[in-house]
Amino acid sequence: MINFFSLEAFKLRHKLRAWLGPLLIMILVLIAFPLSIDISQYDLNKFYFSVIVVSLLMISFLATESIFSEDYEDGSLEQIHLEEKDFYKITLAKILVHVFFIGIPMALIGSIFSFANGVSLAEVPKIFVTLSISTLILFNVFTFGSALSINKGSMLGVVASLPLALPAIVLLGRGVRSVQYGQGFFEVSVLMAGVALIVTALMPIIISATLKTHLE
Amino acid sequence: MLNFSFTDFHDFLTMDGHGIYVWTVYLVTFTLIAVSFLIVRRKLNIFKRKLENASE
Amino acid sequence: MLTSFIHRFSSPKSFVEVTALFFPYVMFLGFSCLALGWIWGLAFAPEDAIQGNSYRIIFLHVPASIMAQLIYFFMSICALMHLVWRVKLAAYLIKSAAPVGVLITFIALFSGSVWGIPTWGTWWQWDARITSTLILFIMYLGIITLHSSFSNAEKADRLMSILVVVGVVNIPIIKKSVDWWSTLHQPASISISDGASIDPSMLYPLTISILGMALTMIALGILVSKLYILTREKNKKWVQAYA
Repeated sequence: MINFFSLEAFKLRHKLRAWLGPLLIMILVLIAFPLSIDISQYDLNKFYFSVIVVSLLMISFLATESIFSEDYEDGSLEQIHLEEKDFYKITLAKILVHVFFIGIPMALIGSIFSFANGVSLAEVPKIFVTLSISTLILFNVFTFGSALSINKGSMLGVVASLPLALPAIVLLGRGVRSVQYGQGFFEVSVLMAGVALIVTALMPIIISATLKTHLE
Repeated sequence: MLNFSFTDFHDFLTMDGHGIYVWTVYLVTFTLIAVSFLIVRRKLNIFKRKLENASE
Repeated sequence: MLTSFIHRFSSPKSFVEVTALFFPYVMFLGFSCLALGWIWGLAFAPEDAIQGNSYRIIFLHVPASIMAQLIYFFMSICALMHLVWRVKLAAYLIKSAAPVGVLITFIALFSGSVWGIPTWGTWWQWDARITSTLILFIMYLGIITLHSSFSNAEKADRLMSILVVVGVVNIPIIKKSVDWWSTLHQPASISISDGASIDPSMLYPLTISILGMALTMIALGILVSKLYILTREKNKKWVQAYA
């Protein structure tokens, strides 16, 4: 299992556009939103959070879009199928590596931007925790979408996985709001952590079944 | 229980101003369902005809 | 033993033949129940004390919503049968039921939103039931899109079944999460059919309409599945002999 982790980490670290690209796009989106709005008229602090949440959703999809495509095309997936008979370990390794290299930095960027928009410094770690846990959930969901649509383009994957992502967004919004209103943070984050654990444990099984279908 | 709820036919159509909503919904639904049946039946007939032409 | 039983009675050929026998009765019964329920509800049920006459949309909206959920539930059972027991007919039925689901969910959304105009003053509200019906609509479209993207039909069947099974778990989750979300924003709006005390003069046409809608959608599903099965199996001898 550790082999898979180090292999995937090596691959992702050396593919600059795969991890830097989503982060840059997130920064661009978070800058673009205030530019498009009349700041004097709206209380930006109030709904900047939803911009962070929605940009997290979009960038999670972008980050996992080609998570399997290279391995599918060069035959590594088939090799793993012959050796391991199962894609659980490789999928889990890929998802966790992507969360570590892309998801956590995304959460960091989101927290910094929330700090720039009125959240007090003491609250920023709470925002960071909320965003990090939700990237784990979202990456799992969108990896399922990209496994379904492995070389058919990304639109199919989004359509398939967006209904799954929407409850995660409700949860994330609830978490962000609990920080904003200053109550219920611990309860919501425990709930989110529980959901993230269940999703991370179960999704790779479903993704593995999907990948096996593609290789038949 | 089974008495006509409206004073006359015109009242039945307008339903105190709510008629437009009620009738729009019912007519659109009826049309959609009827058209669906007709489309599928037509496609089945086309399929059957193609099969007959192919077997000749 | 169960496997052989399932495989014996789930050939597409026997499905088409058996359903062709009772299809005319299902369709006739469905249309009659629907006509009876709707005419009774439109003309003979009394006016509602609060909503006036616009409540009569209930005899269409509630059957449509129930069918939208039921059709997805049916699809999920078929998906399980396809994934676990490799029943090909089940995959054909999912593919046939999906367009029927799209139709009825659209009717449910349309009727609900037109009903909202005189009742709430707005044609859309972000409450739990409406939003989860909208998401269900998108899920139906996603299933159709997924299946049509793959040229290898068997692969497409399996992937579609996986998506349906994952989605069915999602439906109560969506409902609960949007419910949880919306309770923060607004109190419960007028709930149309939750009233435990719905008057019998309205309950009877409603029940008949639900039955009529179910039978009509089953009839449409039988027709669509016949067309799809014949198309998918057109190289088989029994389809050639069909002409």
